Amino acid sequence: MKKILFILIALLVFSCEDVLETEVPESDIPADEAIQTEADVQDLLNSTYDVLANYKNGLNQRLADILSDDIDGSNITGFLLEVYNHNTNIFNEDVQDFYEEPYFAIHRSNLLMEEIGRVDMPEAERERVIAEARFIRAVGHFDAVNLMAHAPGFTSDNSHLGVPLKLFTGIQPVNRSPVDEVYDAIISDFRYAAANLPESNGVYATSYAANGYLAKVYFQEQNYDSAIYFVNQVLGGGSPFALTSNLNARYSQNITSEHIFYTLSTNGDDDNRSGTFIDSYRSDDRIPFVRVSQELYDLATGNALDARADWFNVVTREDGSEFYVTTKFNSNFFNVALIHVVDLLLTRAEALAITGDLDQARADLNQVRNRAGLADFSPAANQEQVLTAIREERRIELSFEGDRIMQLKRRGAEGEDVEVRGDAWNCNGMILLFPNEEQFQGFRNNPGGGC
Amino acid sequence: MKTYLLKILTLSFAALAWSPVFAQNRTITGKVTDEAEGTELIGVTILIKGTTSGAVTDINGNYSLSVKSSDVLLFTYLGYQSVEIPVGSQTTIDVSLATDLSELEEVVVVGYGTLTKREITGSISKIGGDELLEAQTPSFEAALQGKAAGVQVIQSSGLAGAGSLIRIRGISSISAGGDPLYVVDGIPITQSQFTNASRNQGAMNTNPLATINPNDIASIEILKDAAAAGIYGSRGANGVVIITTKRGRSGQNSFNYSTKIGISNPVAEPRMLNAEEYLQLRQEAWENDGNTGRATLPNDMTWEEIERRNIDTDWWDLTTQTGFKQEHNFSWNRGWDKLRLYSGISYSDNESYLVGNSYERISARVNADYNLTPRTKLSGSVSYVRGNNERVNAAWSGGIGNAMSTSLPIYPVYNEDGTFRRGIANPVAQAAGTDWNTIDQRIITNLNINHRFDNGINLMVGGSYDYFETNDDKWESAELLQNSGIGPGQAFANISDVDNYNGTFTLDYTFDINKSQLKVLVGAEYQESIRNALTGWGAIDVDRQMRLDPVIEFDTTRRAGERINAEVTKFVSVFARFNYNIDNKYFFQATLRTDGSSKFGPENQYGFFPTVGASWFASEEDFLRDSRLISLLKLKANFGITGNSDFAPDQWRDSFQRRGDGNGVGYAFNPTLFPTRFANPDLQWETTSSYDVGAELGLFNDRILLELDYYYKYTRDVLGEIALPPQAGQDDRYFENFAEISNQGVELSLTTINFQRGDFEWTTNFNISRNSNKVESIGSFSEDAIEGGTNDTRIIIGEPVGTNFLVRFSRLDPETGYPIYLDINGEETMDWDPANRVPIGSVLPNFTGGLTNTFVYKNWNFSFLFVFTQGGDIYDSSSKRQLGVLSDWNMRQDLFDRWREPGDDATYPRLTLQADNHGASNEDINTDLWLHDASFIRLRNVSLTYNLPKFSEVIKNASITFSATNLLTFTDFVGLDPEIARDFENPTDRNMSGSITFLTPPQERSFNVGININF
Repeated sequence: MKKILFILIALLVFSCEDVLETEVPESDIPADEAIQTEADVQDLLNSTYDVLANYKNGLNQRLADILSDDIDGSNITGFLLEVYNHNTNIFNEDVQDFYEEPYFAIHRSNLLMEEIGRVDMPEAERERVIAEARFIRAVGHFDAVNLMAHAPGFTSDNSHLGVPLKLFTGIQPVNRSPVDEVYDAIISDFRYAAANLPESNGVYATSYAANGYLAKVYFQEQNYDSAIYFVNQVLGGGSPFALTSNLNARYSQNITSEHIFYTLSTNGDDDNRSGTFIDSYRSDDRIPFVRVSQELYDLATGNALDARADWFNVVTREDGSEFYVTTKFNSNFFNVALIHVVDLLLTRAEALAITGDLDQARADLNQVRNRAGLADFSPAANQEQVLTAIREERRIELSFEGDRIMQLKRRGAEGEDVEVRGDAWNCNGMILLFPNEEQFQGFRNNPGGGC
Repeated sequence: MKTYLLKILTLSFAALAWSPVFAQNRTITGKVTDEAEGTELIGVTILIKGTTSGAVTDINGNYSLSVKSSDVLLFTYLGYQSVEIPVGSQTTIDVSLATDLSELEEVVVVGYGTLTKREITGSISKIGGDELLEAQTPSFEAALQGKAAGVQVIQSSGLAGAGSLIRIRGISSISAGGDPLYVVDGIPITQSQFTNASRNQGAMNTNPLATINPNDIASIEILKDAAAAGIYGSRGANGVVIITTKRGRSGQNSFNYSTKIGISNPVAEPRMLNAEEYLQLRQEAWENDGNTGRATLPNDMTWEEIERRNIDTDWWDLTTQTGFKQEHNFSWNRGWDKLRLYSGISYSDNESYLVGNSYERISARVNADYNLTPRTKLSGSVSYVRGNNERVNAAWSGGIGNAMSTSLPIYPVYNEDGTFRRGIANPVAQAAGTDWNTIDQRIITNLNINHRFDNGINLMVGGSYDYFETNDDKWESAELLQNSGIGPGQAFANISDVDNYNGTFTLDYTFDINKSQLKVLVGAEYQESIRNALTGWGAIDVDRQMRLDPVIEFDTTRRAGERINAEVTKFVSVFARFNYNIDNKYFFQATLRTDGSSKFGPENQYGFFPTVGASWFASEEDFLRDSRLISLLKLKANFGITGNSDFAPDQWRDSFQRRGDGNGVGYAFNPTLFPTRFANPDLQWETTSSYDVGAELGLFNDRILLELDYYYKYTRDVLGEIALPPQAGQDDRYFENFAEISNQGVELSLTTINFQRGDFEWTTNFNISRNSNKVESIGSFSEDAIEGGTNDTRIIIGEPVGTNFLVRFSRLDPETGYPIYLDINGEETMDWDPANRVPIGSVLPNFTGGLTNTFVYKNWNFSFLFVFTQGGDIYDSSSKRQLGVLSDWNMRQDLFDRWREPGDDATYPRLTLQADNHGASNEDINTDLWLHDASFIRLRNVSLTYNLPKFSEVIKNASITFSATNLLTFTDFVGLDPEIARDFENPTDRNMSGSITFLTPPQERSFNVGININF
């Protein structure tokens, strides 16, 4: 008895630690064992593309388009209606669902760059992986800054607030950097990627992809010469990329010569990589809740020769009223082209037209027009007419790809008197409020109250 | 005659003179019976006082024992008063034992043993098993409502199998579980509502407690304060609910059969608009907004179709029914020479008033006790329960939730061609396209060995296994999912199981020292809990069922998502309890417990949790002993430290996951690897310091018994699941010890025998309690660091946990009829701005309690229970949509009281379709206009029992009972049901949002008839 008591008292005083050792669940990997091999690094890198595919499934693009004048908001409710009304608040769950995604990708890219030094792998592979990580990080920051901050040119020196620039891991939050710093960081990452990525890299980022992004970033900064330069880097002599004859190739599971960078959708009922597009726009087996504005519909269907009119449909209600839907997303799975030939052609066309090279601009424009069944644009047209034509092409071609609002803001920053459904391009509600969770003490949010 | 007398005297003297000699090794025999019923008692312990020798009665209640004349025999039997009898010259001693009626000698289960009520220095409420069967509830714990002071029970909803929110002496946790620890026959069981990925699907939390069969429960003890719960150390801070199941008694075969049937309907029904009213209000709003012509209608509905087809759909009517309930219980009791057996089987099918919703439970139990030797007893039990919950969507997920929101009366159920109308919220189509059930299975089995050594030390070694499995299986048609790409439909499966092993070892010994007594208990315990979970889904499933098998390899059409294999929690403890009393007047108790838990990093795995308590029976002192007024006066005080670590394991360390390779999908046919958690090696226990003082007073020979308690609790290192800023870029939650919370309160309970004469008796039980709760510190975090789930509730210093954080509504603008709010400074503003949110209202009631009255007259027994809550607000979250800006929701008839023209004194604003008329960007406008006092008095249960006169030799007794649950509710609450707890996303939400309702199905009212037969 006394012995047992003694043992118990001893146990009370000295506790044994081994008893409590547990393994993490088999589905988990302890952090110190996670990144050991080259394959681990590759898997971690792959997960950053996975994130990209998850929010480029329409989640990102839909928010951007609902801000624009391409959408008919009459059947939109709830948080998306706030976006449509140019007046979000900090509790908007659709904004939060989007906003966290680029930072998932950024965090994983940073983590990869911090951990890769411990992994034994060939130097060339290491460089490629780091270049891809920086590519993804730049895409993340670019996507975030486009919706959460005013466009470059909102202030003359771009000192207006951008987004938190995350260049390292950690839970300590950083405040928002000015837009010029954010753009500089994006450009720096893309330039590194362009210099260090191979020209061919499976379904992953290539030097072409990085150059394509650089063209878009400079275009948005209204640095048109650089935009032209980087489009040429992609589409110049010896380029493997060109338009195909198939208008709908971008919205299928095909990978064509138009696809410069894209996210991949694989068959399976759980595939989410085209999900938000389908949920919002699909119109063959359901009536979509995100519909096409009268203005876009009229523009796209005004010319009987234009094959792209097939991308739009009319639905008539019992009382005779009508609304418009798109057919672009009427399938179960499709890859999402993020950098593609049409985009770059029209980017270069507009940059050339702005900088005065109308002939070259028309050449790019006509490539796009011809494919849609339209004739060459009038050689006699002046700069304004050419620009308008390029912008109309762009609006139709890139509809629902989240592009329209970026163009409107850029043109507003250029000095054009741009209004989006009655609201000035630079009013408060044209950018989204950062979600509640981001509001740590000292965080500077965008002003609420809408336009 | 004289010679006779002489003989007797002589013999007597001789006997006295010689007794030491011939008394050696004399054998005494006898029989022990029940005083009231005369039945033999088997297994009664007979001890020679002051020694360890004794005997146990056999199957016929007989015993024999070797004694001396000077010996005193002590007869003890659980539930009976002990008797001491000097042997003297007797050769036969027959004893009849009386059941233990004395309040103070009542045996109370206290964790790792029992004590008498007298010995207890802490605060324990005991509830008999019979009391649990009075009310018709979806799960046994709801029947605790109103029964014990300081135990707040909120039945969550009217869904079949729904659980309750139970708070013992307030809430002292934020992200760790705030529920008490449930211990069944010594086993801390798996009780989390969040073990399965289906944790909140269909707007209903899974409820592991629904797998406890109330018919098996002998008694429930609720340990409320530190002195009582301290023996459970780190798991005692939220109180402990100890469930003891029925065990076999000695005697011949006895059987019990009971059955109950009943019907149910909701306690309240919403008053939604019909089609004509809806169109009228919509048109009014349309015109108020400056539009002309006919108003546009949501989801492309047209006036033409409504008028042509005369559409007026009553969705509530289509989604509700009269629920039918039935249950059958059969038990068998038998005692043999050494073995006692209780076995029971039960079947119940409990349909709720929601169409398609039921909980069917099948259960079986065998409890056995076997006396291996007079000193060694084996006790074992095996139980199996299978609960089949036929599921429906509710609240925000559909079903009757739609009927109260997005299913408009102008929507048709069917198109003209007979197909379901799609593209609208159509709960009828949803139900038709959904096949969904959740099967819970639970096995609880244990084996204990008790041995009493020669020297009086008792040893108990026990082991147990608790297995809990939830298999959630759902199929939805492709038509319903509006996805032509997935074949006939899509199946979803969420399975999880928890293996819970527990081993306990205790030693106890009682030292008698003169007039004082010291009871010592020391013990050790080890628990290991292993959870597996799997989420899977697949297209094209012809038999409508997935029935996931964890070993199935998933192909492209059957995928596994979340997969958790072997999530392990280990828990190791050593503990001791000392009970010391002097003269049966002064009682002292100390408990010590050291717990180790694998939930914490290596530096913080162990915690020490001591308690001390004392009580004094003033009524045993000379100055009160002869009082005719005061029959009992007990004063008590105690202090202790208890803890809480009821949260998921592995939160202290960082980890990664890999997808692809059979576990979910990667990307582009390659695996992905990604981080899932930031490490926090500093995580540690929540610790609560509790102070408790109390008094028990008995008057007029205990006809009036009064218990009064005051407590103060201060909790440190409260665990918070902090919402990280999204820019951190990783799973957005992070556990940290960050807050401090205090609770204090008073509890009063009163038991009186109001009338007792002849055949008539009237007794009353009344309890009332008040708790106040305050967040004392939130460290360096902001008030938004912890989100109250989907509700605007917050952690704010100086306010109770889960305080509503709302913009204040001031009044309606007399000119426009639109709402005016108050800004942060109390100035009026037309803008609804989240920056103007303030803590408002009172989430906690002033008082809660219950009142039971029982009348017994001859064979009749009539009783009723009122429960009440005074003060405390409910945030009727859905009413902001049903009474605010017109949107795609149906509205409530309360809107008839709306502003229409200047001069109107109305409750609700002018109708509008535009949120900006309410100064906001969308129609989800949280203000205190929707915060309502939720005081109520509810006739929780009323029952009338008639005990049939003896009419058969076979049937010992039989009774028939008519009862009604939730018959009447008295309240000014404008929402549906003032007693409600919505569905919860996670434990934080559960702790923070206890006073929110969002389309939550109201509780059910039921009428039942039951029959009980013993034979």
